[in-house]
Amino acid sequence: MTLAELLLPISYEDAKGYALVFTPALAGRLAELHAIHGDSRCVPMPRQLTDGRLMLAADILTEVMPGGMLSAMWEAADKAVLLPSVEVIPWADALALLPPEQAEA
Amino acid sequence: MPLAIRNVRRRVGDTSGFDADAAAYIRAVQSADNAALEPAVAWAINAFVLGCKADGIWSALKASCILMGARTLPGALTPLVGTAPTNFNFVSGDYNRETGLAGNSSTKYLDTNRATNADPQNSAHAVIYLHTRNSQIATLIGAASSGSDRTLIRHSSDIVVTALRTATATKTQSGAGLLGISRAASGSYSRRIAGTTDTVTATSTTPNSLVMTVLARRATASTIDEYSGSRAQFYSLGESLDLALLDSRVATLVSDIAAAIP
Repeated sequence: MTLAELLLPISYEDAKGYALVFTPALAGRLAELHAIHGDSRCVPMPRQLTDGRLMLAADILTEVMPGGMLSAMWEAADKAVLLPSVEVIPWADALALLPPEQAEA
Repeated sequence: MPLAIRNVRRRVGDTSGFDADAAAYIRAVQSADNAALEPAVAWAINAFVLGCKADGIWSALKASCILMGARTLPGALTPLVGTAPTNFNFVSGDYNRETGLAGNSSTKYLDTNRATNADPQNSAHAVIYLHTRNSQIATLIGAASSGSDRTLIRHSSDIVVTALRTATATKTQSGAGLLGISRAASGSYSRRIAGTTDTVTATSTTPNSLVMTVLARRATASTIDEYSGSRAQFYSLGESLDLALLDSRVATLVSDIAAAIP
């Protein structure tokens, strides 16, 4: 499903079951929005998946509602573009797409 | 001042009578929280600061956060000393006023905004205080994946790996609480893990310039890895100090805050 189909607001416990997956281009747009409307209290920093897409834990959505650390950024986002562009996948599926970490020497 | 009036003032976040550094920190936390701390929480913080000063370790703390006590995550990320960390992906649900800030082993970490070489080669410490220690391979605090210039504390299950301007040394030691390293000389450094301190003989080298992270590792300037699922209640970076003294002060702070929060 996409973010447009996810019912918001979402609880922390429910959100922990999902990941948000999107393109590098959208990640760039989100970073621009954060630079304007966000601060160091909460910086969404996606991780790259092995298929080239980027991923955030969906619990970041708990900060987009009024009073949340990302509410200003969320308010400024173009939801018509953002919501259908973000895929929502099970957290376990996202973990399986993370690159393996290099063992330390 | 009559006791009744003093208690009313305490309820609204008054910090008169506190140590100046503690008062400044408490005011900053309350501002970030947009609410006053319980008086007993504020007094616990004040006692911690006064205790660190009495022990002679306060001035060694250069970048530190008490990741508990505050009412909100922004309050908890208010620096006790030094520059505020940058929060990457932690959300309010990850934070508990008594038990601290929990990682998720995959996306969340704090950037301390303090470079490894901000402190002298032979006067440095890195400390993290854990409520819960996850068993997977992860870095708790520090930076750099290889080479002899690294400063970090990482672990795989019970095997704790430390480095302080050196290559790594390992020790098998389970348990949470304080995990810390401190160097006051070129030839060796102190290592404290879950209540036990020992000495690691390892000659220091020039530290790198990587900015250190908490609950993950900055492997290179642009790479973060070894995300931790542990839950942290305190961290500090800075110059050399007595790890046992800091351990005792943070342990008291942990129990005082737990007792103070309704």
